[in-house]
Amino acid sequence: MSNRDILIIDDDPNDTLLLQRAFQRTRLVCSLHFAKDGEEAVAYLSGQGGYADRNQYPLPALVLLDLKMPRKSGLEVLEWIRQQPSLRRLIVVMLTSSNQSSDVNRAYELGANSYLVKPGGFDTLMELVKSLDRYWLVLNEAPEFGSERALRAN
Amino acid sequence: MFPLVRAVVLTEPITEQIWLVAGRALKTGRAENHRERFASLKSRLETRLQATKEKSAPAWRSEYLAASLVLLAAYFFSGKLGLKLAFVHANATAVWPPTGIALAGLLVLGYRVWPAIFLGAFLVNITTPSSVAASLGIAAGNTLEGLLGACLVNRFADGCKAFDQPRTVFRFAVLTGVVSTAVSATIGVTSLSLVGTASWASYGAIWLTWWLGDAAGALVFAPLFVLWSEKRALPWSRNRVFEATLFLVVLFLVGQSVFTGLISSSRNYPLSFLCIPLMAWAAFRFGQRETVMSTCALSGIALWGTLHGYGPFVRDTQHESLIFLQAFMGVLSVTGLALAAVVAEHRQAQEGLRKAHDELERRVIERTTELAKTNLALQANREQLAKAQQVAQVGSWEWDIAGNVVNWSDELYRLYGLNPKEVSLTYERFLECVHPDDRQSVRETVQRACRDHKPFTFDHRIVRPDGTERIHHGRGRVIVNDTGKAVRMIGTGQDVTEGKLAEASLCNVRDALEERVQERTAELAAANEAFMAEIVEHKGTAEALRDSQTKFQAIFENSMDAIGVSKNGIHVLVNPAYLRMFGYSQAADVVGRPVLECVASSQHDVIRERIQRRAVGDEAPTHYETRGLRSDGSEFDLEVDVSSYKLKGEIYTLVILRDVTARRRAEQLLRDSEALKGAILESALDSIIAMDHEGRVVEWNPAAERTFGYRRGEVIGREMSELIVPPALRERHRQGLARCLDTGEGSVLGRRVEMTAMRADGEEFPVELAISRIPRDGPPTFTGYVRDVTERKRAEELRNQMAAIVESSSDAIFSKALDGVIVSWNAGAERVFGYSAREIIGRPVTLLIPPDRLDEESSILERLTSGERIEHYETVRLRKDGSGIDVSLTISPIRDSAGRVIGASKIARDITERKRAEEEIRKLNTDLEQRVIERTAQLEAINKELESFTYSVSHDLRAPLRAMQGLATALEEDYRECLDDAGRDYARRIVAAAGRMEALIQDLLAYSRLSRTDLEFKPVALDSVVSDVRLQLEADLKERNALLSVRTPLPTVEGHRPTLVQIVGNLVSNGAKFVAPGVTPQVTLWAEDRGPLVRLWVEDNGIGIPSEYHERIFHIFDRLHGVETYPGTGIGLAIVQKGVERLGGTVGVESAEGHGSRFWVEFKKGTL
Repeated sequence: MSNRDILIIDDDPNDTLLLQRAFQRTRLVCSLHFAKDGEEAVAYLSGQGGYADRNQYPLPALVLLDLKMPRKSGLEVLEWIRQQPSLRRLIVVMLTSSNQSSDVNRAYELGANSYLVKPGGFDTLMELVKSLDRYWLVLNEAPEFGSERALRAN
Repeated sequence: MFPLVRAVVLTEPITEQIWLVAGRALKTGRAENHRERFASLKSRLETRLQATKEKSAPAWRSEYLAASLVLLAAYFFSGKLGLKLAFVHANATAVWPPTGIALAGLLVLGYRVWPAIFLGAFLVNITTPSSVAASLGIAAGNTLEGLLGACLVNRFADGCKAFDQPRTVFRFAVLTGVVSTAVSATIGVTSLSLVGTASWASYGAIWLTWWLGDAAGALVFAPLFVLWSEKRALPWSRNRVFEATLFLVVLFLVGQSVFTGLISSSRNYPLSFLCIPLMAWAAFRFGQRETVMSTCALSGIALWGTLHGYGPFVRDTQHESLIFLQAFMGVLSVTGLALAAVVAEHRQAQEGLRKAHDELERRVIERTTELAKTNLALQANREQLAKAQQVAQVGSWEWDIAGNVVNWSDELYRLYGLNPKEVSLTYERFLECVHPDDRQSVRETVQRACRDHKPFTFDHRIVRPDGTERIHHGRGRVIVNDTGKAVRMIGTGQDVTEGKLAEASLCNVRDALEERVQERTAELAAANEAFMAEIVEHKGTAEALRDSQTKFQAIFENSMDAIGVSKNGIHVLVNPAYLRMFGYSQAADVVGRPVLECVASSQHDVIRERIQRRAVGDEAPTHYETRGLRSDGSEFDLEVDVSSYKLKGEIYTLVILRDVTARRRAEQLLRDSEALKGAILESALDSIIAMDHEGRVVEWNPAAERTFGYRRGEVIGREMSELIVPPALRERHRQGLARCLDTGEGSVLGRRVEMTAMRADGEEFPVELAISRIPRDGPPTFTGYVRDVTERKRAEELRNQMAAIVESSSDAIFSKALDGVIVSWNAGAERVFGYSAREIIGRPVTLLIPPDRLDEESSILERLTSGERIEHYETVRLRKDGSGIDVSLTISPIRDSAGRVIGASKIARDITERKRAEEEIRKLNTDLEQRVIERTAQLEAINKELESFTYSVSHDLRAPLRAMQGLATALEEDYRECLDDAGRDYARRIVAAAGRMEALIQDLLAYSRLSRTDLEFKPVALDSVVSDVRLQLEADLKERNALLSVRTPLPTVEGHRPTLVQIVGNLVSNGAKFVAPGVTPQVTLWAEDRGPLVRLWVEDNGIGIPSEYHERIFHIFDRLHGVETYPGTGIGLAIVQKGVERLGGTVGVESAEGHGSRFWVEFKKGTL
C-alpha cells in the first residue's frame, strides 16, 4: 500500500491554493495536508494536540517545506525533523521562492532530500507537481519511519 | 815426556814465584853479578820452557789427555782419602776435597775435562762396597755438581776471577757451596737409597754429611787450585819475607794451640776464634793465594787435631766433629777470601790511583813548562811594548768604567811624572793630573764618548807633580758589552809638548818672517823712489833721445797689440806682445825666422803674395784679417794693420796684429743672442712691444700682431698710444711717459699692472702688462709684456659668482682635503653647523660626524677616490652644540689638473624640515589608510545591507506575482465559460503583466548580482557556455522557431562561467527576439582569434540597430521599441555590458537598420 500523503508546510495561502489546484488539475491521487507555519508543522509531525489522530493526520510520505515562514523558519523545521528519531527519514523537499545558493546549501546541509524553486507560471507548477509525484511517490523507495509503522512492520 | 811437560806446566806458577822471590832477594843484595847470572839463567830456562811448550803445542789432544789424567789421579786419590773418613756411610764423607779439585779443574781447564771427573768419581765409588749403578749415579751427580758449579761461577761470579772482588767471592760461596753441592748430595744419596745401600730413614743425615763435605771441599780447595793456576805476582821484599815467615810460625802455633794439645795440656778450649785474626793478617798483608793457602794449612791442622780428638770441634762422634769442623773451615775460607778480595781490590784501586796520580803529575809538569814558556814570551812582549812606548813617548791606559779602575802603562806613569808603584789610579785621580782649565773639556769628551761609543781624541795640558806643564794628546776607544753599554775604555796618551812648542815657535818664525818681508818691501819701495829720483836727475840731454827711444821702447814693449817688423818676409824685430800672441818665450825664437811660420797654412798663399808685392814696393792691402799660427800649432783669427817704411834703403814692413778671436766670439755671441731674442719674440705667447722715448713702436712681436690685430709693418714707427691705448687713457699714458723720462721713475715700471687695451677694431679688452725700462746711452726705450687676460677675467668673474653663490647659499657648502681636514666653509655651513669658518677650517671633518656614523666617512672617501659622486645621501651630522641634525649630503670629488682626486666638496642641506614633513605625510597616510579601511568597512556593511535588501525584495516581490499569475490562469482556465471575451482578455492581460514583472525582477536580480559578487576567473570553454545557453533558452527558441547555429569549436576564455552564460544567453535571446515579423530568426555564433584575446560574434538576421542608438541600447531601461512590439525589460544589454565589464572584456555592436546585427564580446584567451 503506497502512501500518498503529502504534507505541505507553507505560510502563503496563495501558493497553497495554487498547489492544491495544480494537484487537482493533474488528477493525481494524493491526499494533501497543510501546515501554516513551522510550529504547526512540528505539532503535526509529532502528533501533538489535535494532530494526535494519525488516521486523520497521518505521517506524510512527502513533505513540501517552504523556507520563509514566520516564527519557525523552514530550515529550523527541517533541523527539527532530522533530529527526531522517528521522523529522521522523512522525505523533505524544499519548495521555496528563494534560489539563493546560501539557502540551497544550508538546506542540503541540514538534510533536505531535494530543493525546488517555486515556478512563476502555473503550467510549470503542474509539471513540477507531476514530476514530484512520479519521482518521489512512485519511483522512489520510501524509507520506514514512525514508531507505529516500525511496530507494525514487525 | 808428556807428564813431565804437564808437571812443568802445572808447577810453572810455583816455579815463577820461587824465581821472583829469589830474584827479589838477590836484587836487594849486593850481588849484582849474581843477579845477572841468575837472570840469564832464568831467561834461558824460560825459553827452553817456552820451546818445550811449543813443541808440545800441536799436541792439543795430548795436552788435554795429560790434564785429564792428572785431574783424574788427583780426584781419585783425594777421593779415597776422603772416604777414609766416611763415618756415616761408606760413600759419604765430611771431608771431600775432590769437589774442590773438580771445580777448579773445570774452571781452569774448561768444561771439556768432565770425563776425567766422571771417571774419577766412578772409580772412587766402585772401589767401595757399592753397586755399579750407585757408583754411576754418584759419579753422574758429582760430575753434574762440578759442571753446574763451574757454569754458575763462570756465569755469575766472573769465573776464575771470582776471588778478586768480595761480591763475587760471596756469590762463589753460595753457588758452589750451596747450590751445586746440593745437587750432588741429592743425586748421590738418592742413588744409594734407590739401590738400597742406604736406608731412606737416614737420608737426611747422609745428605747433610754429603752436602757439607762437598761444600767444604769446594770452599777450601777450589780457590786454592784456581788461584794457584794464575800468575799472581806479589811484590816480595825482604820485609815481606820476614813477615811471611813470622806468619807461618804464628799459623803453626795457633793451629797447634787451637786444634791440638801442643801448647796447653787441656785440649778442647773453644779457641777457634783465634783463626780469624790469622785470616785477617793473611788477607790484609798478603794476597788471596796466600790466604787460601793458610786456610788449607789450617784446615789440615784442624783436621788432624780433630781426628785425634783435639780441638774445639770434638764431639761424641767423629762424624759430628768433622761436620762442625768442615762447616767452620768453609766459613773461615769464605771470610778469608772475601777479606783478601777486598784488600786486593783496594790495592788495585790504590795502584790505579797511583798511576793516575803519576800521569796527572806528568801532565801538570808538561803544562807548567808550557805555561812558563808562554809566560816568558809574554814577558818579552811586554818589555818590547814598554820599550816602544818609551821611545815614542806614548803611554797606554785602560779604564774599567764600572769598577772605576784605571790601568796605565809604565810609560804613561813616567810621562805624568808619577811612580807606578805608589799611585792607585782612578778616573778622578787622572783628572787631578789634568790642568784645571782643561778638566771640563776632558770630562765632556769622555762623557760624550761613553754615550756615542765613538773613538775620540783629546788634547789637554797636564800638571806633573813637580809643577811642570806638559801637553798631552790622548786617544781613546770605548769597548761595549753585548747590551751595548760602555764597559771599558782603552787608549793612549802622548806627550806632544815638544811638538806643540815646535809649532808655536814655527808660528813665531813665520810672523817674524812676515815682518821682515814687509820691512824689506818698504825698503825696496824707498829704494825705488830713490832710484826714480836718480833717473829724473839724469835726464839731461840724452833725455830727448832716451825719451823717444823709451817711448818707442815703451810702446813697443808695452803695447798690447803685437808689433812685428820684418824685412823680405823674415822677422827682424818683435815685441813681447807678439811673442805672447804666438806663444814664443823669447825673441830669439822668432827673429830671423820667416813670417809665414806665424801664418796659418790656409792663408800662406795670400800672405806670401802680399809680402812679395810689398818687397818690390807695390801696394798691398793694409788692413785685413787673416789666420795666425801659434807656436803650439793652434790657429786663431788675426786682424792685421800693415805699413812699410824705408830705412837705409831697405824696405821694412811693420805689422800690428790683434787677436780678434775673442772679438769674433763676442760677435758670434751677439749674433746668437740676437737670434735668441728674435726667437723669443717670435714665439712668445705674450705680446712684447718696445717703445722709444717718444712713444713710438720699436718692437712688435707676432703675439702682438695676433692680440691687437696690427701687423708689424703697420705699427713700427707709429705712436703706440694711438694704436693700443683706449682713447680715454691716452692722455694719462702720455703724461706717465713724460714723467718717467723726466724723473727716471714710473708708477707702472717694474710691476704687473692691469689695464684696458684696445684692439685694431676698437674693441677694448683687459690686459695685464709689465713694463720695463731698458737703460742705454741716450734716451731709454721701454719694453712692455702685454697679456690678454680677457679669459682670465671672465674666469675670475665666474669664480666670484660661484663664490657669491656658495656664500649666499643657504645650504652648507664646504670642502675637505683627502686627509679629512676642512679647507673651506661657507656662510651656509656656519648657519647649519654653528661653527664659524675660522673655527673649523683646518680641523678634521670628523668633528661633524656623530660617533656612530664615523665609518660613513671612510666609505664616502672610498667612493670619492674612485671618482664617484654621492648625491642626496641622507644622514645625521652634529652641530657645534652637539645636537644632531638631519642632512642630505651631495659630495663630489675635487680634482687637480692631473685629474687626481685631492679632496671633496660637500653640500649639506638641512633636511630636518623635510624630514618632519615626511613624517607628517607618513602619519597622514597612515590616518588615511585607517580611514579608508573604515570607509571600506562601512561600504561593505552598506553593501551587505543592500544585498539582503535586494534579496528580500526580489523574494517577497515574487510571491504575490506567483499568486497573480497562477490565479489569473486559474481564472482563465476554470471560469472560461463564465467570462466573456473582455473578461478573458482581462485575465490574459493580468497573466501577461505578471509575467513581465517576473521577467523584470529576474533581470534586476541578475543585474544587481553582477555588481555584487566577486567573480572568480577561470578558463571557461565557450562551447559549454553555449550548450548551457541552448538548454536555458530551449523553450524560448522553440517558441520563436529560432535557429541557433554555432561554429564550433569555440575557444576558451578567461572568465566566470555563470556570467558568461548570462551574457551569451542575453545576446542570443535578443538575436532571436528582434526579427521582422514573419522572419525565421537565425542566430549564429562564431569566435575570432585576436592574439591574446578572443572575440565571440553573435550575429542575427534581425531588424538591425540604427547607428545613433548603438550606445544607448546598452543603457539600463533604455529601449528602442515599445513593449507591445517587442517584449523586453530593457535590462538585457545592460546586463551584458555589466557582465563584460566585470570580466575585464569589451562589448560592441555592428549593425545597420534593416540589416541584422552583429554583437561581439571580447575576452582574454584562456588556457584550459
